[in-house]
Amino acid sequence: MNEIQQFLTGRMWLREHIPFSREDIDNEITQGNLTPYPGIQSSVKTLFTFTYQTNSCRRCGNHQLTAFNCAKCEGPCLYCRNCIRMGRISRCTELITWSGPSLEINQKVIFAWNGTLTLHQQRASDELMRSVKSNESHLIHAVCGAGKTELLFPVIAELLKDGKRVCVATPRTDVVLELAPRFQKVFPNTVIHALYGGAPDLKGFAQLIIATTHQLYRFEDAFDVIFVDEADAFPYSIDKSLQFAVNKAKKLETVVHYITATPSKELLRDVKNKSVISTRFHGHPLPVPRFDSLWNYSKQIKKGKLPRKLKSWTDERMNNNEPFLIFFPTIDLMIQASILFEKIPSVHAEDPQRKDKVLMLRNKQMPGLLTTTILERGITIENLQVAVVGADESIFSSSALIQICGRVGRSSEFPTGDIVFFHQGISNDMDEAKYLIEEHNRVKK
Amino acid sequence: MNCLICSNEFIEKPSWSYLFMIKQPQVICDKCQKKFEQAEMKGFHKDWEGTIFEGFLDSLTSIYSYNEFMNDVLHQYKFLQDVELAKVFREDFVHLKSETAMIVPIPMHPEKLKERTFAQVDELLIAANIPFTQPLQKTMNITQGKKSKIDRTQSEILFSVTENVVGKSILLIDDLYTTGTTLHHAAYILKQAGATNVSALTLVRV
Repeated sequence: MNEIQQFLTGRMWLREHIPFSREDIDNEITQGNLTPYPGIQSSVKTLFTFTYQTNSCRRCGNHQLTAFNCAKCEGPCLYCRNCIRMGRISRCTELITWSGPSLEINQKVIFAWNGTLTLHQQRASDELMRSVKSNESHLIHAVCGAGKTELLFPVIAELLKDGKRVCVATPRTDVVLELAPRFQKVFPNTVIHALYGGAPDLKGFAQLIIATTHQLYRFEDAFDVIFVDEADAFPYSIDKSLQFAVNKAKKLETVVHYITATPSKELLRDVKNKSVISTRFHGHPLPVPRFDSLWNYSKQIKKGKLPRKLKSWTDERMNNNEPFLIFFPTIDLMIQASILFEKIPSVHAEDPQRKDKVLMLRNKQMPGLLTTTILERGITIENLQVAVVGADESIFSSSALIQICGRVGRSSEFPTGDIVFFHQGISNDMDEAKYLIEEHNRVKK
Repeated sequence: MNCLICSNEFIEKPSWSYLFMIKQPQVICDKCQKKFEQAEMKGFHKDWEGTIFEGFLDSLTSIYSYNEFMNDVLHQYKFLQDVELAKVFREDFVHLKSETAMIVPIPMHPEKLKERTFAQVDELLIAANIPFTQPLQKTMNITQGKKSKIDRTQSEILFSVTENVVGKSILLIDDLYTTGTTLHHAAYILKQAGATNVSALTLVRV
């Protein structure tokens, strides 16, 4: 099979970055198998009697382009800063995609999963399958630890066997790194690409793609089915251009399916087909957070003193030999606190050792970790205990708090654990988080 | 306003000079601004003593010293071709408005220029609104960064002079001073062509 066809099917790639020789590419273009598109799209719009031109980036849909004087096209040119990390798109660059005969997918799919689904998972999985077959958007609203990934397995297996191209997209790199090996184990015969910022460039054609939503900028008209995991998580919820990316990456006539523990109001309103799972796979109720006041914590920490309640909570965890996470609202406050907690390291988004530190906590090589909201989802550590300092701060939205609570009691051996929200006055979001968690527990009974 | 580097939102502190438009608005946040380090090292490398280039470059000033953050910013500016970042440094060149010497940015080879789509040193001056002249032409298309140190000091002269510079005092502008090959070569050829004084100002000192 043609390597260029495999690589560029469904992909939009900058001409300068294509890993094939120039002659080969030019050759395919003259044969009509590849189509080059200008990097910046122009369209003329009319407002009443005025006509005006709008320009947007073909890859990410960004309208706010930057003008500069270009030496290549010898005149004024435009470029896009939004997706510049993937190679700059300007008016004089070309995006190339495969437009020749479509690829025959005839790989044999082996479905090597011998787990079983709980009744709730099975029901949700069947409902999702029905929606996928009738091509209607579906929302899986399942509590943290319900086993959302497993219930995708039978659905994806069916799709792969039908020769469909499938994408699981998530806003976070950590989640991609966790999901990709799990899927590879379940589908040992299928080519799976894990795509995220800084991932090695993979050649060839993958029938199943696990990617961050950012990476979908590079696809167009590619997928028969897209599942968006953690659909509410930052940055998907706020970044319009990421929604553009998801819509562009799927084939025109297909729909997007969502999976989340904390759906936004818009998602609940817009998606008609829903499956709700209120129980964890082990059947135990969700741990409910407790509220405890912690006054003037930031002042005390800045003065070099640990608040008494926080210190005694931490000491208790260490004495009981329980791993723990302490969430802080800002990086600055966390770093000041980490100086006071001598033996406890901290992680934040820009920390290069983030992966290693989480692994060390999992292996019990360190008692606990201080963190920002970066670890609010996607991590599973047995018998974990959680404290949130300044839970009333606006960064801790109700969905963030629910996700944080979802870290606790995930294994059937340790289905409970302590979650404490240290606050300076209870916020609406704290109340809402607690209410929603209790609601799930009530539904179950 | 969103920071050009970290794209977080920030609010500029109000000031009189901003209100009366004496100062241009800030384009990066204070957090990013603090990550740049002012240059400490002065003068040029000892390696140039005893070579034919000794004594041609009269003085050298650098604004920032090299650190990881500067590396990232320059990478985005030059290799990801983010021209907009030239604005980050515009306040650093504003004092050149009262400069009496002839301001000469180090030129790029025409082929290289086509590849990068903009001249990174010219853009720094354009962003700061500083007029400049270009009596130099780059004759060889080689990237300094890819060569070893010995190669650099012994290579042929990299530039030629295309305008009359007799009796002129010249200030060379470049983005980086690493070993100094570029600047020493330019100073050499300019003085050979009759310039009386050649100094240099670089954004970063490695």
